[in-house]
Amino acid sequence: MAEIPVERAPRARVRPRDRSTPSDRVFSGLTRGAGILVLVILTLIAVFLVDQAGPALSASGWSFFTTVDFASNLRPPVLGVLGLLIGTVTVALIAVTVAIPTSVLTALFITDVATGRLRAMMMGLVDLLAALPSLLYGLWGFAFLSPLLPPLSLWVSDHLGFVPFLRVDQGAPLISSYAIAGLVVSLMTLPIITSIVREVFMQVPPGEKEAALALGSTRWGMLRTVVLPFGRGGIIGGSMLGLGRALGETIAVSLLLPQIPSATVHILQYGGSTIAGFIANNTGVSGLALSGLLAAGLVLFVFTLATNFIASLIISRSRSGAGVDA
Amino acid sequence: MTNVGEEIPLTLDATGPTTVLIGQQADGQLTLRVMPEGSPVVGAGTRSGSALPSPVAPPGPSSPRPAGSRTRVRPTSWTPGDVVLVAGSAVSSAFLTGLVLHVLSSSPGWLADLLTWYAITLVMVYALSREQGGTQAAIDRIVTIVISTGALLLVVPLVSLLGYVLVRGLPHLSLNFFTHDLRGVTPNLPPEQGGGLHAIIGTLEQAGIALVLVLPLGLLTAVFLNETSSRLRRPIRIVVDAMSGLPSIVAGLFIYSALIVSKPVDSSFFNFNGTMAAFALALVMLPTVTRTVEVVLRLVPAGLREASLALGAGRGRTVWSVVLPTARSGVTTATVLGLARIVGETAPLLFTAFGSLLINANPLSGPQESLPLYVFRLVKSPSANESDRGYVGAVVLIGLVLILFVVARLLGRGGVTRRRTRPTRPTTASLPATPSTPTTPATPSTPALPSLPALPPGEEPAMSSHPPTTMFRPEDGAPAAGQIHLTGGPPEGAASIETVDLCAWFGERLVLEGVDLVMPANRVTALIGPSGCGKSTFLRMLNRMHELVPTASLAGQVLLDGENIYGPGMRAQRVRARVGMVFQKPNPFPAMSIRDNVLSGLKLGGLGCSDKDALVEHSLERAGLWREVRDRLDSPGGALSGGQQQRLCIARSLAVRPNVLLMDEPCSALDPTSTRRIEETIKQLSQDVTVVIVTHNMQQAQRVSDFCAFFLAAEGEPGRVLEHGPTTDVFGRPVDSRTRDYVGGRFG
Repeated sequence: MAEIPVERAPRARVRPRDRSTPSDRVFSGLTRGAGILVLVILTLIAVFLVDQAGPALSASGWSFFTTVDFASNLRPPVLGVLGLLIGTVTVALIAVTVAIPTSVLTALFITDVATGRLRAMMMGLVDLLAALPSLLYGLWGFAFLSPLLPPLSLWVSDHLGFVPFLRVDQGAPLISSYAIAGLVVSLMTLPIITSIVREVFMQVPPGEKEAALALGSTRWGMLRTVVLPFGRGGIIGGSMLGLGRALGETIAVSLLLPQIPSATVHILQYGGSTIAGFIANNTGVSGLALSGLLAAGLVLFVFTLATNFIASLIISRSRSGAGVDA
Repeated sequence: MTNVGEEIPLTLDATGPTTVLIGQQADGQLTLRVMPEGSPVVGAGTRSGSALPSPVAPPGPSSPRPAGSRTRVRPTSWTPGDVVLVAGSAVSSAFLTGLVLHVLSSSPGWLADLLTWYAITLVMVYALSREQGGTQAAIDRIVTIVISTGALLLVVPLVSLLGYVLVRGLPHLSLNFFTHDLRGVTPNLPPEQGGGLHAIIGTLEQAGIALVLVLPLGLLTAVFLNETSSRLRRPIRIVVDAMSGLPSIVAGLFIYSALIVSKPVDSSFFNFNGTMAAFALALVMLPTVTRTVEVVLRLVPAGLREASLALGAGRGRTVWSVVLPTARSGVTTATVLGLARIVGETAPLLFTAFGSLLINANPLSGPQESLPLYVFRLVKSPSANESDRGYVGAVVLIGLVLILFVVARLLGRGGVTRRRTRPTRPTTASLPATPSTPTTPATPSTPALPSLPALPPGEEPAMSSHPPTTMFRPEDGAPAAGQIHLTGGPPEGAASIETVDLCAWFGERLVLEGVDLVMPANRVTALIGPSGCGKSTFLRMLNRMHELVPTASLAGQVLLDGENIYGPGMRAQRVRARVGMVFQKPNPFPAMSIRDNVLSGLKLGGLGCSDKDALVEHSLERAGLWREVRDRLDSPGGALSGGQQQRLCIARSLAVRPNVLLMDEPCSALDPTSTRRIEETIKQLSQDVTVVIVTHNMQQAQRVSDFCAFFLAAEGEPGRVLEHGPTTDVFGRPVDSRTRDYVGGRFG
């Protein structure tokens, strides 16, 4: 009964093709059409932004990136993005710096400390924090938080004024500062970072955690030796994503900062601007000024894009982030 | 010496109730033991050293202690003592803080008080815990406190924010807000005057239009990205990912610049109006919705798609009837959260809707207000009345977002998407409390036999040791197969299947070579062999499932009743409707009821049926499941036990009346009882269909099959059929020594 191998003619290897039915054609046509439409729309936006930013960029040349001021009402108009960019990055960095420890602690609380209902409640609160409009954060920061902070700012500048960016000029008001804007924006980045870090922590193999505990480790020992090293990529990537969100934050910042471009950064005192906030405060412009705003928006977009891209790369490359959708 | 039965004069010191034990020893001697109440019966016999057969039941399973007498403990790391320790530290450090910062020096502010208090508390807890349990335990406790504080730091601003806005806005909220706009309202009027009706109308219209634009496009794109194998997927995914980082203000600026300032067509439509705002919001929402829906679709198990395709459904049908219903709740949640997001979006509206004080219900022309714009403009006003009006708007906005948020959570909870990654275990609630009919001995459902030990292979109970089950006995009024007419289905009867020089590749790797095999009609053919020898690949080539793997290719022929299924003009769908398939892991469609699962093949393959109820009953009857589920045909298929699910999948395959049924290790995920049930089903099935079964269980192959083929892949070589023939021959008189070793259990 055994099969005796026989010499055969060379085989024709095929990849089977299926005759498609009308409904299959409709399906693939529809989905492909939608996909291509999305591709076209989004590509058009990018092309249009670059095209419309052109006049401003050609009028200012490279000085667009080195000029601090943005004053379209002057003759000739002064268009520069540097001051806005410095402010944008400052606010985002403050926000993320404040948000990272809280996010990591909250994520640890959700995955490894809280159980049952408390855990579900915390997860719900984080989601709620993400669902609230940024306008409300701005409102709260503007009316509630702003008046509370000047005494603290005064104390910090008195005792830590030797650090350049913590210095406060004589007689400068302490409201509408980068510090307050950063604090408020940090609240908006909290849910993003927390949920990414939480997802990464949840992917820690239970076996590794139990192995640590079975060796007689305390919970902290387990967190330090297993969970935190495992989640490092997720923490970094999540923070970058939070940075991306903070860079584009508009309405809260436009409420909280005076939107005057400047190159000096004193985070505790009045003054400052960001690209998004500045655009929001300049509605109704046209001509070269509009082109300048679009160019600034393009710079912001490129920054956000780069940040998000690097973040996704870090998360997907890390051992922990393989299954996380970031 | 006394004789048994003789009266024994007893004199007892009656100090309390006593128990008298009378027994008879092996030599006929009577023993008598008097015990005061409460003395342990257990120890009595052993203490005396006599071999008394105690009439009192020995302790054990027959005399359970009442459950209430046990102390139930959940081990925790926090005892009441620990709580007292932490609370005490907190209180005493509060005193210490007060002493240091307010009596001995002057405090710079409340925040300094708080931080000092927190630091002192931590130090105290650390010191005390170290005394109690050592350094490690103390550090652990400190870390737990710090982590919990971190979580609190997230909650405090949230509560403060909601509380602040509510306290500012709620007192001034009146019905006026929902019935008036700002016509004739001046800053001098109290905040109760005037309202935000125009803003509410604008918000609903703009969000609605954006949703109508985004939902179909986003859904179709997500389906395109996840359910097709087009080369365009990569660029589209990159662009969608990139655009999800587009700041919303830039989206608004883009619409403003591209449509409102540039005016691509000279029309009054390209001006500040609600539709422009909806366009900008759609740009913000589109990438988010596409990405989240794609993630949700990815969670739908691939097995469900395979099951649907194996029933003869096309790609589009599978997505529409199986994938989207399964992912429905996830998709809805994603959409509602996306909606909540754009409802509060302010920045792009500044450039597009522009805002207005009056009602403008026409989104196509004229500036339009929306809630975020209303709030944004009014709260900045120096007038207290105006800013209070703004806070009222903020309260309504919070309410709107909260409603959407709660709706999304509720929808998400009802969903099966998240849980679907694992096969659903039956819950006690979902199982019938009583057997279906008292008159006929119902076959016990699988979970009712938890104590049945899992036997090692080779020691499974022989078929004959089980009482014959009644499941194939026709019941009164049970429909006969002939009375149910299917239209558009496969031709009647079983079909033979034959392969000619069949080879399979994955990419450039040849995994199966030169298989010539005949599987006669109305017979069970078993494919055996070690893992990785190409059995499953072979099986999947028999109904054209092989080609679903993007890199797969093949050579040779598969003849179904003499017709090559890979021939020109043959449609894979048609082949799969004729050749049904049951998978290793039970994969009933979770979004469908038991009844709909059975009928799913009709729907997916576009078949008509004269009597659906009869078909459901007949198919379930043939799969041996009818009695167990006939009272709950409308409950979800996922609520059944693993064995029942697998039989449901068999019934689903049988309902379309295939000519051949392929089974890929159908019992490998099941316990012995379910396995036995399915094996009996297989034997009965060969009356109507040709069965081809892949199995790793030699005994199973011997029990169920008429013919047998042994596959083997040598190291680094493709799989080949080493030996085939009647099962009795392959097992009884194997020709090849490797076959002998394998079926004899000496390797593999």
